[in-house]
Amino acid sequence: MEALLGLLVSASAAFYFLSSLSLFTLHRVVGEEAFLRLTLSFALLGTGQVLMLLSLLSSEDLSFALYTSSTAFAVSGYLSMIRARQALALLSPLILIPSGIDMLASLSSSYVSYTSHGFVRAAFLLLAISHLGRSVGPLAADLRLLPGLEISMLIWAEFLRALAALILAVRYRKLI
Amino acid sequence: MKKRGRIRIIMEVLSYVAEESPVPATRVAQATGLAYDRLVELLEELNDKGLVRLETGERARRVHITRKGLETLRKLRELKDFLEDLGVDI
Repeated sequence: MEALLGLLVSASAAFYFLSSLSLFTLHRVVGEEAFLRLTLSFALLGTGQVLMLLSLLSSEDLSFALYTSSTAFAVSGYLSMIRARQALALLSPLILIPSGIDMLASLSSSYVSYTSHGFVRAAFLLLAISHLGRSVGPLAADLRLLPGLEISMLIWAEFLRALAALILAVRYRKLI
Repeated sequence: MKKRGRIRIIMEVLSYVAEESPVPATRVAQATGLAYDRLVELLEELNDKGLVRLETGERARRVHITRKGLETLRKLRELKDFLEDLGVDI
């Protein structure tokens, strides 16, 4: 299970980085700001996935730090995709509440999904669900709401997160 | 009518120049609906980036597509769906 998850996370990281490279090349040639913003977004999402992969391979203490920081990078990726400043101002305070960073990731990716179309919308909705799972999982564990299910909930959340990237990679394969 | 974004304008200019190259700049302006001054500004920028080659003759500017211009046009066409789905104004 862990090996399969590792493989999916690696593939999704590769997709994000290759897309980022492709968008950066276009930014250099065309000089369009939107390409630079998307380059940054995809690089941050890729870094988040690399940290997730490292968290699977690391010791328990380090793993938790990497697991949490992977969301921080993902949040930065989603936020840099959002152009409406008002939305950013509304979402930012969420970082202060418990499990807030994953909640913020869930809401910011929901917002990106809302402003997108087609497969991008579906993929970012999956990312939103995945982050919601990651934020509710530890909370459920603390409150003993879902005994024994918290870990599998977190694993499924990561599967969804990697799956979202693979959906994008298949649909927009020309991007890489 | 929705205003064209910069990416779409670049795509339209490169597409037309790719089909008709070499082509006078006035014809590119007519075909793409851009004001001549604005087009020349854009063509000079694309020329500096190596996407087109501007040839200034005695009577008119002629525009040639370059290999880099064709590659960029292909990439932009491939990315069009993705950018539109992401809600990027192209």
